[in-house]
Amino acid sequence: MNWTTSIILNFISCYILLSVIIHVCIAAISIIKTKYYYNKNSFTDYNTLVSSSNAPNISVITVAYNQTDIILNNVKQLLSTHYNNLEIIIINNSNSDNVLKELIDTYNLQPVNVFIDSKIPTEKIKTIYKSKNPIYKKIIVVDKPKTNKADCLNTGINIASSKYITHINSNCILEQDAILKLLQPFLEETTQKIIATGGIIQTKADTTSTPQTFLKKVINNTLVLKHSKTLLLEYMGGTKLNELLFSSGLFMVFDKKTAIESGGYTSEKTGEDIELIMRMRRYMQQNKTPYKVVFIPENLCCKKEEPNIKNLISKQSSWIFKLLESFNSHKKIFFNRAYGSLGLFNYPYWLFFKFLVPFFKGVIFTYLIAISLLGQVSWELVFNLFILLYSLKIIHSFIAILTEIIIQDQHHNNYSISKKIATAILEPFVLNPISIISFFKGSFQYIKRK
Amino acid sequence: MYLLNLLFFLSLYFSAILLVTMVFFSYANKRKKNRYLSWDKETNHLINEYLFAEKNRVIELSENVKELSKTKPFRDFIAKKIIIAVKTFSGETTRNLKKLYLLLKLNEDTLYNSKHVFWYLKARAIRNAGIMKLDNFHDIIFENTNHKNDLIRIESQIALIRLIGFDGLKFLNIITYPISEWYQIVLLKELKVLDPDHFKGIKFWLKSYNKSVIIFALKLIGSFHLFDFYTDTQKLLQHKNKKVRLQAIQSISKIFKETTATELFAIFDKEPIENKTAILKEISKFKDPNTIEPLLKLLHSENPSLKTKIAKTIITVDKNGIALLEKQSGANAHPLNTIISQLKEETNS
Amino acid sequence: MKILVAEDDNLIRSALEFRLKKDNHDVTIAVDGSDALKKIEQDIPDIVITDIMMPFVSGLELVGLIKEKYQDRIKIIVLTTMGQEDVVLEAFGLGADDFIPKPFSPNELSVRIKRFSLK
Repeated sequence: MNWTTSIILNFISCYILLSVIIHVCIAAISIIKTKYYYNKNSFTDYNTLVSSSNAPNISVITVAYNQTDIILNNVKQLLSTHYNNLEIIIINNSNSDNVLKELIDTYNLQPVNVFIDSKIPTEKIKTIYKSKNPIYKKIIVVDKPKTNKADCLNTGINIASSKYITHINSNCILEQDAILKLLQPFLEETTQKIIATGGIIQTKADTTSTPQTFLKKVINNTLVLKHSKTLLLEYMGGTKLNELLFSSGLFMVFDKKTAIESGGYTSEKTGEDIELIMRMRRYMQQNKTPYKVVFIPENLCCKKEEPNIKNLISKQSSWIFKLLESFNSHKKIFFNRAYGSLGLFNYPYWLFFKFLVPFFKGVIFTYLIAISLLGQVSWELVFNLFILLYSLKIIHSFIAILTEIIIQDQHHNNYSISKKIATAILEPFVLNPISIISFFKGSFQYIKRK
Repeated sequence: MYLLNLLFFLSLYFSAILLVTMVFFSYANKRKKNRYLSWDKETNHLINEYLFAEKNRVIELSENVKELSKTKPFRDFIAKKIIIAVKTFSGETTRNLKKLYLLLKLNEDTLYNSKHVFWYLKARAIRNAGIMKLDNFHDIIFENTNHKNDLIRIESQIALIRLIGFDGLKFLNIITYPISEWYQIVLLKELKVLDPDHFKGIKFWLKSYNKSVIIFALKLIGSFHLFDFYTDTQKLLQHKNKKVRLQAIQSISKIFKETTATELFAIFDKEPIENKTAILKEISKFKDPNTIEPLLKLLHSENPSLKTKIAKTIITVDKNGIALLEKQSGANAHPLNTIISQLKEETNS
Repeated sequence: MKILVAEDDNLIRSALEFRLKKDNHDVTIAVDGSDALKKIEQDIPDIVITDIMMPFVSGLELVGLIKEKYQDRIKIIVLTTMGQEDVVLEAFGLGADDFIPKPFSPNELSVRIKRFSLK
């Protein structure tokens, strides 16, 4: 073995060690926080808010695309939410007139003339509809010529009359008290300003449409496992550090005023919520106002999706694309002391220990195979390194499963432990190739776009 | 390479250890679940008997229950059940359940836990003492109403109200921590169930240096319509904190007199947007024709988004509001013309 | 009378069952909204007593679904938490026949059921 190989190998081990230490710290914080949340939650009666006249208003913004039945279902479900101070804003962004017609018929809508104070500049609106029927007074439908999503959401913010806003995709189904759980932190805080609260979106397998093959079941189980790993071992650690950055699949409630002041959603970028939250943070940090983003370690929202490799790769690669955009547009804060821990810790952490991981993995694997083929190192060493990376991955999953068993014991009772362990052992073989492929696919798309 | 090898062995050992722990815990949980299942029947039966027992009938505890009640998990289990039952049912029935609680000596557990170092056990014990109305906990509860842990603090405050009713609000005299908006809602809900009573301390609370106490006292004035405190509330319209002023605006409107609208208009100019919106909302509830004139004056001075709100207020106060608006100068120009046509359609529907 | 009790807490469920059986009613229990719907399909009860907050199918939805299908053949009594006036109004709007706020006295419930049987 020559000295360059030895330096590189040492460098790799240092990286692994550092990564382990960081992940252990974050996991420890997460577990403690989650336990605290569950303890605290057992004291909270969310119904108090439902019945109170002092409950705050919230506007739910949803963008309608071409699938008529999905949007109708979504509105029906929002209307049945146990919360009265709710405003449902539907922005029609479909090609055909079908969706709008269907909405008008179902809810007895009629055009109204509304004066909009456009605090965030947007494209022109065609018509605004409200229902003649007082039962549906919560609904506002906005018809616009087809534009991008960010523009639709900004229109929603401009129209919203409530103090808080949230945006959900039309294929998401909210849990019954999701909104209550996300509003509560805003009311509870007395010292800092809360700019946003978030819960996680769970992807559930759509088992109705197609037959379940073994591969699909495995993929589905690995996704469930990955979900509980992020839920239990990562997100809460993120909130403890007051920095929930670039996280995917979140359902968030924003403080409207801050959202407007920081400029709303931007149309140049595709990652809507992560981009907005990033700008809100920067805005608060620039104004030196103490702020907080609160995360709730529960599944508040779920969406159905068919778990197959093709879907996964396209989803993850578009996510990589969005992240690249976000990293690029906020590169100013990288190791910038003016942004505090946001720049010194979080940005680098996300870049080196989350985002670039598939890249490193790909490079390390190819490098190792290459040098062992050249005979510079023994096959045994390469094999050991593989085993090491593999067992680290498994340990992470095992810790998540263990935490689930101990903390959430009272909350979930139907799971089989052996199935979970088997999934944990299989997971690296299923998800690793997918994440590596999607990383390169996503970054390639990004470079091409530029 | 030492580092790599070390990491390699460590991770292998560690994953093996984790595997064993997982299996162990899942087994332990399964056993616990089965045990709970068998206790469930037993306790439900016992509680039902107590719940529906006729007056003065003494029910003996079965040997099995007596034996079980020596173990801590069972005691926690049955205490939880009794608490649920007391919260759901009312009247004579709960008195029987309190007898059961004392018979099983669960109050001793509550006492022990109320001094526990774990905050959630302590908070739960205090909550239980309040729900079961255990009078001898008064001092412990009162002491904790200004505890540094927010859950212990709020549970003590609620428990004190459950224990001695409106007198329990005496904690407002001593607390230095703020009461969050959420807990104000919780406290008000707790008070609503009680019969309205004298409010001894309000004057004192309105002068508190704890702003959240002032706001809460104002909320009390509003929700219980305490007309006697009109002048005190009016004074707070000039308070230097805008949140206090906002609550004063909302509370004074619940106990309003003929002069209230004028007083609200007097402060209108200086207030921030949220408070202005609140004033307009309250004025639209008064439906006093005398407010039209000052409202029309405001219509010309404010920014577009407030203009809409002012115009809406005018329409709710006066049925012929739209005609009035159309007569205004600038009614044909933007933004007033859009506002008027919007309001027209809204009133038609 | 055939009564179906839909309530997610097992203690309250068993207490209601105990009390109503004392009055010689034929009591069926359901653990949540969807379970209740299934049991109603199998054997149509005279009265349904349901909690408002339940997992899967909420009490309000249950009220709506029952009244849509069986109209007045099934009477519905809703159990609510103190202070939920809006929810009560909504339940009445959907066709609920009576409501009882928690905490309630089981004897009061029994009296209200008697009133239905007299009608």
